[in-house]
Amino acid sequence: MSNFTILVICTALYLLVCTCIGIYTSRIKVVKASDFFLAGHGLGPIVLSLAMMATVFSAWFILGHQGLTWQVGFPYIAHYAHIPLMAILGLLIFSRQWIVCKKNGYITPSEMYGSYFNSELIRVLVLIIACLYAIPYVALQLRGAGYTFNVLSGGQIDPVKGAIVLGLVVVFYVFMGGLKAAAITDTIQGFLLYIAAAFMGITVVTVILSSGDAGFFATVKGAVAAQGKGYITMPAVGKMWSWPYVLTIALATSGIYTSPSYTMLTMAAKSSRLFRFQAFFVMALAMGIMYYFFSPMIGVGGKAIVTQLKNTDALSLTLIFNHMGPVMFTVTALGILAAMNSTAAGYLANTSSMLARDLYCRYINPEASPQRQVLMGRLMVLVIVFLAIIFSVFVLDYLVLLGTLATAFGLLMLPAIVGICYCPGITKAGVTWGLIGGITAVMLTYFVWRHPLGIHTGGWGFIVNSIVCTVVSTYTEKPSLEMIRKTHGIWDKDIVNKLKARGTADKSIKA
Amino acid sequence: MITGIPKNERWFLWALLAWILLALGPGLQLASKPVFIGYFPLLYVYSVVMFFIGLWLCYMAGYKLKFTVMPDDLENENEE
Repeated sequence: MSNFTILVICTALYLLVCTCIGIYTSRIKVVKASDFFLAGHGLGPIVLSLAMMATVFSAWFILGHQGLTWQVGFPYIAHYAHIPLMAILGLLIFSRQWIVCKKNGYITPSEMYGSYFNSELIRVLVLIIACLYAIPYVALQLRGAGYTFNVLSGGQIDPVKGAIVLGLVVVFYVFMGGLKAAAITDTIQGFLLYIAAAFMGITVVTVILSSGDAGFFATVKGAVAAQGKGYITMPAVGKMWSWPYVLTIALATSGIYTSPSYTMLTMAAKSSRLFRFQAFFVMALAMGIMYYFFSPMIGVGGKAIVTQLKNTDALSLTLIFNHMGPVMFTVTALGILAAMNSTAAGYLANTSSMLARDLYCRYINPEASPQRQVLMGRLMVLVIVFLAIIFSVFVLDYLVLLGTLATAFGLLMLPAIVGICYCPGITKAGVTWGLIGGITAVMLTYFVWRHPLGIHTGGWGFIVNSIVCTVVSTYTEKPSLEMIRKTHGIWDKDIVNKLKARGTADKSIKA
Repeated sequence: MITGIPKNERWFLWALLAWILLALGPGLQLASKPVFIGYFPLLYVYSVVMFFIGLWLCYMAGYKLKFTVMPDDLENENEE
């Protein structure tokens, strides 16, 4: 029996388990909308941590990062500092936004932003950003899955068919069980994909050790030295990977944590204290080890094994296809599929819930029962997958580029989050114009003039958004005192008196 | 105005900014030299050191500082 036949059988079993989880979770009684949309606020430490990890750990890491590490070298590894940065960012914002949502009964990020800034336009803009983020990100996962099936089958399976098969299973279990199904499957997938990445690293070491007497580190050092100065210093590869690019692509990647879809995932936590464990032990430590030690092992070590690639995304698959035995081949390939599966499921569940709550319930049928809302949420899953398939067919960039386009949109929410969590001085007009400016900047610097001046698209979005938001906020009306009391007042009981003392209260009351 | 960060914990924001500039910003130029330390390029060694400093900052934010941890026992006043 060939490796690929074993993989097909194991993939079928794995997809069957995911389907069963979807059916099981669909039987949970929906009394409140949050029972379906937020898994009843019931995600505990293990499920939450692994779901959050699996949602980040996607086709982008498993295929894209390894390939670009292989191509760009150590300047690319330098940008992995986004991993501890994201963990710290999570600690700074998750706990506060969780408590604001819990205290005020918000189910979606659009409700939180729209209510805090008292703005329908912001509510709609958040929804647009959620879609601009989720559609390319889900497209990335589907493309990755199709590509994986294609390469591992030796070209027997068409990439589009592979993407559709995985897409259908994800759609099914998210359709049936919503966030609960996505979170439970993510937990299993979290383990699988970590093992897959470790297996790939071990394979590279084994292959290099078996190919000569020089030893692993000496062989890799020789391969690195042969690439020239640009592989270990900046700027690398066509002068793109200088520090402004490294900084701004890392900031853009951090946009995963500020994206509306991810915000919604954090709202499903059972307790705000769980974020400490998730941030330090899972995100920073476990993922940091994966990024800083396994990824160089695969990407840079791969340089000593694979000298030519038509597409850098193919590195991981080439290693699996050519150098793994049946067990490692199957587990690693399943882990790769799990990475894509889990990420697509998480974003599908959250974005479809937002569309149901913030589009259907808000503007079409405000009296919709929780059951009706859940039905609409399920239908929206189909809409998003359809749009993601269209996107994946027509935008043919590498996986990393697609990923950073998506996260560039996610990062646009940062000023609004900072407004809710830390700075009551950020205003409705500031956030609105900042978002409009940021979306425009991201679009222009990706589709018209890509990464001008060596600054990544996400950096341009961040710069324009932050400057516009700060300047406009300085001259416009602040959020109402009542709203500030309901949010900032949770952690600063004296905030209203402080604002009055600073003389900003009159403006606030007008708002 | 920044809410809910005690004065004795504001150093963390400055430390974070400094770390970002060193780990991702112009600080990277310090290590951008074609030099190996043992088997490893200087840029990689520098990145790993920055990773451990980032880990320490993350530990401080999660387990030592107060402003990142919120009380959990609030009534859910308005949900549906």
